[in-house]
Amino acid sequence: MKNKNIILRGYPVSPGLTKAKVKILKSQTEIVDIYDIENVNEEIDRFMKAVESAKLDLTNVRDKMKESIGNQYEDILEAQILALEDKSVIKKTVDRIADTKKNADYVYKNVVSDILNSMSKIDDPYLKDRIYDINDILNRVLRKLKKRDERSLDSNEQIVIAADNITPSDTINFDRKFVVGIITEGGGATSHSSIMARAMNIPSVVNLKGLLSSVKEGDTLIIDGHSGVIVIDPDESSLKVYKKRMEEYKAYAEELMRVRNEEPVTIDGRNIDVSANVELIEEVDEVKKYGGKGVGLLRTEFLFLLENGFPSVEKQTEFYSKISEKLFPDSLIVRTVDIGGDKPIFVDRKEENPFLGYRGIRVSLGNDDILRYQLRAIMKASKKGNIKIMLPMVSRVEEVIKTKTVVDEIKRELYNAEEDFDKDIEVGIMVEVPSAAIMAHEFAKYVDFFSIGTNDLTQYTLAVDRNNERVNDIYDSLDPSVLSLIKMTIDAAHENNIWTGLCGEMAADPIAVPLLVGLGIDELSMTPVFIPEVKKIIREISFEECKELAKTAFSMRSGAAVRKYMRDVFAERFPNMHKYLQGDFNE
Amino acid sequence: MMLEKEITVKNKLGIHARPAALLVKNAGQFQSKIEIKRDDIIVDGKSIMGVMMLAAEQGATLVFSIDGEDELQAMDAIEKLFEERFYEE
Repeated sequence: MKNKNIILRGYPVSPGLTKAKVKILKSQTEIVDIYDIENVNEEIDRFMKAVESAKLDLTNVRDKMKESIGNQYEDILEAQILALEDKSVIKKTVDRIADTKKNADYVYKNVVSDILNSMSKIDDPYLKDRIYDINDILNRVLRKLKKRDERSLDSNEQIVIAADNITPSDTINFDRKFVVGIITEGGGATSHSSIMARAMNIPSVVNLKGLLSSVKEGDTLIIDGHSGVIVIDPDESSLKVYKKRMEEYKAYAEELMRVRNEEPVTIDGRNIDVSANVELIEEVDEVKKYGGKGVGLLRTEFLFLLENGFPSVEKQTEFYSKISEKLFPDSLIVRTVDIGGDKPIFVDRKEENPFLGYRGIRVSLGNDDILRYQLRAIMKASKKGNIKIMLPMVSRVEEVIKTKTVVDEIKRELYNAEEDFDKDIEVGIMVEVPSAAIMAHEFAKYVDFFSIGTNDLTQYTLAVDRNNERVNDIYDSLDPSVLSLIKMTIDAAHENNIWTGLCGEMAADPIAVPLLVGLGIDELSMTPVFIPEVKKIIREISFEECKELAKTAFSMRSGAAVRKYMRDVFAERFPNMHKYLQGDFNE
Repeated sequence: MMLEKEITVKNKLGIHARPAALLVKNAGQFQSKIEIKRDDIIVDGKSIMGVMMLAAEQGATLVFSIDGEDELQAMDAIEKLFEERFYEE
């Protein structure tokens, strides 16, 4: 029979190359039969045992989770356990079993579905997430009733896991010894599965559209966690490429491991700070592992999402302090919460254009206590003097002035309360709205640094939603219009003696790195795993050469032209890396 | 006798997962029957699914009806929880 040899491209989140049989983690919805029962008491007993046993599982997950990754998911699991033992639900189920003489599976599913139905009618973003949690509970109990196991992955041979997405409570069912790769149809670089894959040092690719419809349990799979390509049921020629690439990779991976602790300095002596974007405490260990210098972007949305609400000053202070201590003496840039846009927490009404609406600093300034509590927590954590504050989605100078007034007020309060904090804490902004780049010379008078957020800057400059498949081919951070705004920002910063970093995905795009260096960028911040590669590029190129490349790029009129030009440069200057950039699987 | 009292949600983000869990755990410590009414929805104060369905945001007014031997203590404990904004701020 002919091999399928289906090639899919996704987003690489953990490097490495591997080949193994695939195991599919199925979606969790259980199908329920309906039948009449004879003995009501026996059926009720069966139901209560299932609930008890599901509860035991969740309690175990919660405890194991605490051990391995801290208590970040504790509240969600706690609420799940409470929902599982919810007396009114249990009573309704038990009563209905007695009334209708139908099986527990069918009755319980109906009772819970009624609740889910009325919940889904309420227009509340938090409740929408809880629906997912409650569905998880429902299916857990149904599996217990059927005496079916949790979706576990018992295996005695090496496997690759394929799933739509992997939830925190799933990860407990992996036997890590046998899992050699993880691929998902959904997910992103900071999804739980991505972080886990990097911690396990196994290749992982996410966002593989069409994965689950093309892969069959037991198919052999090649995962290239470097270029983001997977091959399902590879043919002779793909296997040959795999073998060859495996050898090359080994050498390349060793080289990257060597370079990761070297200084990121160009041949002619220009030093670029290479730091990390992180979101969770567990990611902080990755910063050192991959040789990053501090954190250039700590996202705080996750903290709010997990809490499903507003984390207390204490809880926030503890979170920031822990990370600051881990990184000391390197610095930690905390970005105040960037909600709205694609992260609609606290947003109480639907907006026609969320990306042009209430988000980032606009939300913080509109909710005085969100801003105050967060700034207070950040400052209380600043004892060691290595924390900086960064404001997202700034579009007007007034926003900076207003926020800095609040910062000064909090400083005074802390000072009067004789608290220990960094009185000279730096405040910077994300430059991700074109107005901020255009007015950078004004902003530079009020802030201590800039960090360019190229994901949003590109979307706003080219007026293109990169999640919209009909237009996302226009999205390109190498478009000369975007490069111009980057240049304006860096130039304005340097004229005013402040520094500029860049924390968008562009910072880790190998072919963009020489251009950014040439434009004078001072810092690049990225997902930790990409750090060694970026360091390698910086160390093998000169600032003068980069300036020339940037100059040539500026004479071009499209992102595609710049990209092609830079690829050609790479083919000559970094032949190995060039090969991995292609995203294909040919010789 | 039955106690009835209007309580306003003060914490910024309303009664979501964590506050709901806290409220239900607190309510569960008492013998009394605890009902919460919002507009025309009435739910059991000891049921997390019920409490979550209230989707009570900041400023929402909830009517608590508590009936039983320890109703006074129960009402006090619940009021304190709202007063302290579920220890969130």
